[in-house]
Amino acid sequence: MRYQIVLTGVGGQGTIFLVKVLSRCAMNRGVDFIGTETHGMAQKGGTVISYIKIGNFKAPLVGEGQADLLLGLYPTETLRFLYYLKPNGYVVTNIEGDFPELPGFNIVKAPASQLAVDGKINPKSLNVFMLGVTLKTVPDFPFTKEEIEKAITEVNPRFSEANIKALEKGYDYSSE
Amino acid sequence: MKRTLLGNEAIAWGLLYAGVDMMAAYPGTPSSEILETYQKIVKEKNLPAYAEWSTNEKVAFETAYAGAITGKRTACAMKMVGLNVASDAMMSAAYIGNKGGFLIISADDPGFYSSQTEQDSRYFAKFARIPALDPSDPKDAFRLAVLGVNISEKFEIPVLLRPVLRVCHGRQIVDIPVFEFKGRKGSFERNIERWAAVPRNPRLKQGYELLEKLERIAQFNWDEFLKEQFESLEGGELLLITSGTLYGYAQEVLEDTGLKADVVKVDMPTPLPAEKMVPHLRKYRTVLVLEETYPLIEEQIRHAGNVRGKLTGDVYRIDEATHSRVAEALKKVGALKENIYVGKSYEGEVPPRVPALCPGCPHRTVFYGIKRVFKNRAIYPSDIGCYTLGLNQKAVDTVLCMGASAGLSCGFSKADTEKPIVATIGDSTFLHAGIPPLIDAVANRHKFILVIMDNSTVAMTGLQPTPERIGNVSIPKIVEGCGVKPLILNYDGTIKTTVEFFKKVKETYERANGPVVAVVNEFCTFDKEKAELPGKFAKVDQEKCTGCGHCINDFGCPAFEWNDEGKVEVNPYFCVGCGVCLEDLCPFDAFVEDKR
Repeated sequence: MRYQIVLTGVGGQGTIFLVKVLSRCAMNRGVDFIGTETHGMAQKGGTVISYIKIGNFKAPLVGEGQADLLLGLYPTETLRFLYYLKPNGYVVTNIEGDFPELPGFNIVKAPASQLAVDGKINPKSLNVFMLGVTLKTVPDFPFTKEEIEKAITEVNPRFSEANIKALEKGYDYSSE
Repeated sequence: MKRTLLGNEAIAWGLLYAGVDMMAAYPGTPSSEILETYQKIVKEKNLPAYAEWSTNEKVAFETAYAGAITGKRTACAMKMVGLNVASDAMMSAAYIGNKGGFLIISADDPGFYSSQTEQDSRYFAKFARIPALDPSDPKDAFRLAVLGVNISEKFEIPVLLRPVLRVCHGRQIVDIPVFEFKGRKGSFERNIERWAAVPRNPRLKQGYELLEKLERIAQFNWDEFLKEQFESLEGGELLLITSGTLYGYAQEVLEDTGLKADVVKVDMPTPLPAEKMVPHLRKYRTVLVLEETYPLIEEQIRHAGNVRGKLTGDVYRIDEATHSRVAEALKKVGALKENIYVGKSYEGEVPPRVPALCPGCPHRTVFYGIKRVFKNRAIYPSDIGCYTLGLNQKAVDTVLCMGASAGLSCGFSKADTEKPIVATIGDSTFLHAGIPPLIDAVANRHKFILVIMDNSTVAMTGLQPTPERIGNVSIPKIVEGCGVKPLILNYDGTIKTTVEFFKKVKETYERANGPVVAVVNEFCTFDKEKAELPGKFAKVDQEKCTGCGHCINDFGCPAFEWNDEGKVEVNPYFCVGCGVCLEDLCPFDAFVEDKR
């Protein structure tokens, strides 16, 4: 298996948690991975980008034009890092209001910020909600919902119930 | 046991695996998780080991080094600019050496993600005449941390481990073998000639010993790390000499492009057995050196004649390694026809997202209060920490290095006597390097205001505890001990109180003939113990907003956004309910509470 994911958002949204979950899935499956995360200068509201490459990879960053999936937790950051995607790659993104057409890519949109402000999803689980959307809509996504649920529980048992609920909401949202 | 680990976590495991039972560090991105992890494992497993956050990197170095003098295995960790601070101790320790293994971990930050410079710590190792190890990924960081401790003990010399950001904050599956952790009892044995070697003869003797050690270590480097790789090389068109993360990038670029070339991985870039390498290098038409960040290996082997790299202008010279940069270098030496690492950017405009203080951060209110009172007339030296971002409010004029807010203020006060000087510094930075310049200011009557923004945590690097939090060290008492009675503000989340306070500071300053110190007791919004956010969310009354921009330009909460009508809105997703903007900010009282 070879699958490269770029995760973007703003500080405080929990991209690192998603990297932890996905890397746990890889380990549980017995597949290698390498990735790298933004820590430090990314205050709440600052740009955050993380990378995870599942399979036999050696270098931490994703090469430009090579990612299979861009998972964007905040719309401006999705657009900022579009160049990591390969042609016909998947974009799954949170949107606030209008979001431009992106010819040459497959786009899945969900107004997650608004759902959080309206109290329909927990703002702290917006990341996992978007992962739920991804699971349902991206055909070649490397892990199953069961694998993700198991990893969520292993990475953070304390909030696993709330997170799995958010995952379900994301999964069901897209099928509406 | 297999674990998914950050490079920094892998290093901490490596230290414990190698029997390191004493560790000290000062936080700094990208190094901070090393001590955090070490401390966590020691606590969870109840291991007989000691770990501390020291006041600065020099203290961390000396604390850990003393352990190694007594025969314990020890380590210290810091970011690379921290090594500048610890370098005085390091230079001398290289001569004296150690009994137990002693690993210095200096995390580099190619690409300036959270550092003032891009310096290559491997050069510091070469300068100090100690070996450096350059891990390529988290797995390798575990391996080299263990080897580093062993090499240090074998040769009785400090060893520098230099992971870069993408190793420290890289993540990978690392297999940690089962091991039994045994600490050592330290025992200081008097040896005045060694531990207290003075100039000239005892030090000269150590200098000769150091040179001799280096030769033996270069031979070890060849035998252990390089011989097998070089002796299997058959020669041909292209050889890639790689170090650190570039080993991974080189392999991936070869795989992605189908290009054929031989690859050598250099684990120890200094001391390098260059003369043993050269005959092998000459079997190739071209040798390309790929390393981060400066051309350390290239400088040592370029005399082979066919070596290309940064010095020949073929490899990027600044910023971090990427696939694209490696591909460009291969293009320049004629090995690749095209760079395949090209993505399609979004063609529209994406608003820039500059680093900003978090919504609800008390620093913002304090900077706003300072600016309201001292306006644009003052000089605003600042320091290293979150509050550097006061530059967005034009309340920060200089950023040099740790403690320089006070140090530069000493000089400004004598060099430009026309302008008031209002310097800002955080609590951890003050304790790290701000005290000597304050003492200087008192002794030499340098007139300026030093605002110590005290949230009693190292917020920037992830809330590491400060001496105030863990040891009841009192900043006001330190300031008083230096000879200044500080003015104190307990931050209450209102602009009114903050402005009133700085008016009083200004009055004191006008009467003063030396430094004036203000200590503001704040909190970090991420600090669960201390943060006080009243849950008063804000929105903007669109009738009242005139679009004057005062709130965005002078206060600049990241939740404030311009809308299409040229007015301001509060993005409810980012508002944390600090309530500060609700009063005394908008000249037209347009901020109103958003009851949720």
